[in-house]
Amino acid sequence: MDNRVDTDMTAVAAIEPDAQLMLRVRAGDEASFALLLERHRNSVVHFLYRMLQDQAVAEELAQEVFLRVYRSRESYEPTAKFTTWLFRIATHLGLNYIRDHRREKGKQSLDREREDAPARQFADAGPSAEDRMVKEAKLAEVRAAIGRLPEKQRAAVLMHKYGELEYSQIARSLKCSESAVKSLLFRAYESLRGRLAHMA
Amino acid sequence: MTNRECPIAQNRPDVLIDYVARRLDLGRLREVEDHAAGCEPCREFVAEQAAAWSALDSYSAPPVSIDFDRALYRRIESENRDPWWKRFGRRIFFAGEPGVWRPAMAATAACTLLFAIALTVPKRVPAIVEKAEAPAVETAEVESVEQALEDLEMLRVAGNPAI
Repeated sequence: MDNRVDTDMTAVAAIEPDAQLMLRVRAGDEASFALLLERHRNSVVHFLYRMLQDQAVAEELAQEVFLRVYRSRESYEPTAKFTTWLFRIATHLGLNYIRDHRREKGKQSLDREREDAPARQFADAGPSAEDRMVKEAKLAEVRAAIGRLPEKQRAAVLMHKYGELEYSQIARSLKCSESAVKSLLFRAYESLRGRLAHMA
Repeated sequence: MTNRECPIAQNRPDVLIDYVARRLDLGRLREVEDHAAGCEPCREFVAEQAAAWSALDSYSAPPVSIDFDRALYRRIESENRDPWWKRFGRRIFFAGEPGVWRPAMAATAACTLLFAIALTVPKRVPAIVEKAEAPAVETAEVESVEQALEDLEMLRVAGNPAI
């Protein structure tokens, strides 16, 4: 087992440290899993939050993502970047969730967080009430613009804009070609430009 | 220059998107900058894309709850306590690589269905045989009808010798 890990680790050493960590997890090193979790927890939760616009669901699904990573540790092979694999699982779970909850979702979830969220407190020296309202309105507009994108376009934009994934990584996450990703992104940004360009 | 005349705006908008995202290398970045300076469609595209890009920057996500890791490790521990067959099933059907087992599950369901159909086929064989015999009966009926018609015709001719 150790020999196998050493061989694989040598092979991917030049690729990325995350794959090395995952190979250590495969060899039974729990601390490496904690390190991977520490590195990617925020990006996965934030990706799912922006995709589903629901913090509780995003965290639950993000846990499922890491749980699946942990479950498949024994069969892990570093065939692609670790983040590609991670976002592929996250995208899969996110899209499935959207499909499963399409009927009940509607506009409800867009507003749910704001209703459930505790009242935010601002220091006196902070922005004025008017500024805050303008900021909130802008944020709501951005959320709505992203929420209106078709699922795959939304996932592609979120991986491109916030996850800073390369086209090839997005393509592997969405199981499509790079040219298809470019087309998805072009259409997505076209919609977003139409809805958000006035906010400059 | 119109949108149709510009090769970048027309065929490679991804370059302009990458330009706004600052994902181009320095050489390509300057190339696009020089081009956009003299190309109105590209300038407009870049301005609108930059505005949308900047608006997207404002979409911050709330911090992850402090209980996240603890909840995850609780789930891992809980799974580790599950019986082996449950863990085995999860590893097969809910492991890291998504989508791989869905076609397998569909194939398994299809095979099961085919197997179930195959089990019921022998019961239907006699029915097929019965159906196969049916044309013989119909042929016999046709022959008897023809025979009857011929008999009638003979009787008709016998009853009227003038014909």
